[in-house]
Amino acid sequence: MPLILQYEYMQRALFVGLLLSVIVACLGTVMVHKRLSLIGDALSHSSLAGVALGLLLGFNPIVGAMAICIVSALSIEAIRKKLGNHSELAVAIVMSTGIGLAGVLSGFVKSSADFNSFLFGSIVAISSFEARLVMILSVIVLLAFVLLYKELFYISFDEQAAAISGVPVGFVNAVFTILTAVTVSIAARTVGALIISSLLVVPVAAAMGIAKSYKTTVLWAIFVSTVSTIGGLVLSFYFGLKPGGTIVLLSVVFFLLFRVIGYLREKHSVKKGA
Amino acid sequence: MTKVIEVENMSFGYTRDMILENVDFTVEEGDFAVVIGDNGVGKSTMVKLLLGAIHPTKGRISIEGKTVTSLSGSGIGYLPQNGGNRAAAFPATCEEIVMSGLYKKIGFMRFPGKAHKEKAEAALSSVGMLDKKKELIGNLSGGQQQRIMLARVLAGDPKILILDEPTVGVDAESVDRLLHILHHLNIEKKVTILMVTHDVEKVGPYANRVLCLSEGACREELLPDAQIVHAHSHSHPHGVEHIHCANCEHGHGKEAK
Amino acid sequence: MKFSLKRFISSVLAVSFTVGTAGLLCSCRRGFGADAEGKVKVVATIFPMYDFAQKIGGDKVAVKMLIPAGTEPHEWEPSTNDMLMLEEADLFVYNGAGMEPWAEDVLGSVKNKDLVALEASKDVTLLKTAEVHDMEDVHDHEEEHDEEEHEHHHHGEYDPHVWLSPKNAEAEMEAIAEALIAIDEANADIYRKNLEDAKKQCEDLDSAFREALKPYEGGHIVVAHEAYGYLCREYGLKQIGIEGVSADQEPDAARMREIIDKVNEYGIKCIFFEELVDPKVAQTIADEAGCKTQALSPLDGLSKEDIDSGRDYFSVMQDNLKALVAAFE
Repeated sequence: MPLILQYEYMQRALFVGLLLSVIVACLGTVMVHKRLSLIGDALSHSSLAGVALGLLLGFNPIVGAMAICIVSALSIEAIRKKLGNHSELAVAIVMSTGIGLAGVLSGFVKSSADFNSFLFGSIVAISSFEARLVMILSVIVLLAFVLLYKELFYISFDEQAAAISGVPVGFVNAVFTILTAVTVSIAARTVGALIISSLLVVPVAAAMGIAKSYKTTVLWAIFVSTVSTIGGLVLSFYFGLKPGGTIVLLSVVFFLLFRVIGYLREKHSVKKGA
Repeated sequence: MTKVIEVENMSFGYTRDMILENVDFTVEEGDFAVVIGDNGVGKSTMVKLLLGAIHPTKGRISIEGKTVTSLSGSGIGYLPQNGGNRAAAFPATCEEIVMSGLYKKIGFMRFPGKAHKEKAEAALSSVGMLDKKKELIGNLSGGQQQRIMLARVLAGDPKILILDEPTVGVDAESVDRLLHILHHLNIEKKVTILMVTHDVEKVGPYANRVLCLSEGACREELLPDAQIVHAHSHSHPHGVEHIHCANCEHGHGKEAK
Repeated sequence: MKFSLKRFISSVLAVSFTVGTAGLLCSCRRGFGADAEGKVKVVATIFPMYDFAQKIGGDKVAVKMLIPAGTEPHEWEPSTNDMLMLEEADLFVYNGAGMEPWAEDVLGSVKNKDLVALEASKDVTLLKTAEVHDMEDVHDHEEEHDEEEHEHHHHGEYDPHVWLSPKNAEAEMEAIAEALIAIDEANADIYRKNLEDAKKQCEDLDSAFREALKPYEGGHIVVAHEAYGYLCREYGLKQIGIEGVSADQEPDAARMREIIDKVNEYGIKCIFFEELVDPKVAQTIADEAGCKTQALSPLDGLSKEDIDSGRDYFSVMQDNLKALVAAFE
């Protein structure tokens, strides 16, 4: 057995990392095409307000974070509809509100705990409870993604046409908004906010560089996401690099690589055509 | 003939100022109706109202006898304006896009089968794009993209087809092809068609009904046989009811230049 | 202009919100209250400074703690209210040695000419951050940590957690006493008396540590972050920090393995965590190596509840000693 698999924390990191990178790539494909790329950032920052609120009102901060995440995500969805072409502003507005609220609320919190340490996890320190939570979450998200694949495709492509065809747009959007919110809050707690907000976007952006269909976009995004996660963990294990940053940078390398491949391929086909 | 689209004394405005006022018209089964008028008179608003994306401030719109209340369920095939533009950046093959038009036939949370695939291929070949089915839609020309969008709509076998400015930004050959396809649907399959356009010279020959939304008043004209009609100068012998639409004065003068 | 109900309601809401917020802000304004009249007004940065000043000053001083418990002292910045408090104060006690890198900037902008600033660690022999590490153990990590320290906190050079050795605590209290005597001659005797008492307690604490830890000399402790350099030097222990001198870094996978291997190699039975930081990393290592976890306080942040319930430097250090002994047993 290779050294890396002899340690339980690494087994857990690899397993949970793999699961999360798959579902986050799926959710990311949906979010990117709805022009909500920064939703991961917005939600993980807003969840700080939930933690502060939890500490202030005396309930579990993690529950607070999850609740605020869901509320923020639904607000983004609601504002997005009102803004039409400027839907990406919804994310910025909710993120600003969340950060502002967290700032003001934390001024009232007289508790002593180090907020960030309780809110943001580390991929090399995952508890068995968190691992189980991620497993359940992954099953739900994957199931929803496969069952609603056709509906999501249609909504991402043209929300109005989808509605005319009878797709329950409101329901599907609500399901995915809530799943994204829950995933971000659990994943931020388990592997950290950096990994989660980046993996929602970068693998999808990379995949769009070379994919030749929507289906392969999803598959390439999953590929980039999982390979970056596993690769990042391996590099961290053998070379002592910080896992979060390494994973994110690897996915960016894939992005650049795939864009170059896409560019060369285009040039090649133009030449052939001429 | 059964009335497929009925608009009764309908007014609409986002604010207190009405964009459309007391509009009245009907489209019957098998009609090829064209909605014309200057920019800014509310043609696109009219389409949105028919689709159920927005709702009349006053009056009633019904499709096949049922009042339109929301986007879903109207069962209309809809080809949006510049539909291809949206598609250009979306990483999907033509086949995937046409398949999405089969949503009603496949059903919620169900997976497409072989029959659906064949249906999509039939739709693709009906617009002459079967050879591009594995191509990314973004790699096609504007006219080709629009044909894919049309194939998507056709895959759903709509009884009513609403098209918003389908000739804008499309090459002449594609326009001819589009009109040919529409004519075929209209004649052979008795599909009711309502098209918003400014290109009445091209579309006119295929249409049997022209709805003119223009400054101050709008006219509806029934064309018994296909002939080119210059709607602006046309005073029609049938003298169908006058439809008033307010606020056409602003903006369109600029457009005319 | 037409009267708009909507506009009226929104202005009422805006006004009441502004007033309400202002009210809230005023109510939580921290400052020296009326009961500070006639006392020496002391502003201390972190808990040990606060506690030491309280112990020396007794009821002749009014002490305010600047940095709320649980806040990372390096990243903290004074608010306008804090600045007002400094304008009012007679003595500003900070630990120094890189703990409060912002202290000089802040002092530069205070207009209060009578304010005496005291770096409490001035008489302590400081440990370089590099020496803090267990040399033979974490060879390649030293440079890395040094670098990070410079990047993040600019303090890098010395380990600021001097108070974790009772002898250093004594030196810090002596410095505070000196400063108080210089400011408030009239009560010099009281300060001297308080210092004597505190020194006695420090000596007792020191001998308790020395005696209890004697059997475990040369032993290793695994701690959340490397804050225990002075304590280890004093009593012949070696610390293995999961994270560097500052507590806010994510460990990497290689570091985790290194620590787990070491825990197994040395037969370490307990991983220490800090109460104010999520113990997930300590817990992961403990699970892996099959040992227990226990809280060990670096004292830089004591929760408000603990302070309110009368915990002080000595009682927390006694708990630390118990935890250390329990870890070796």
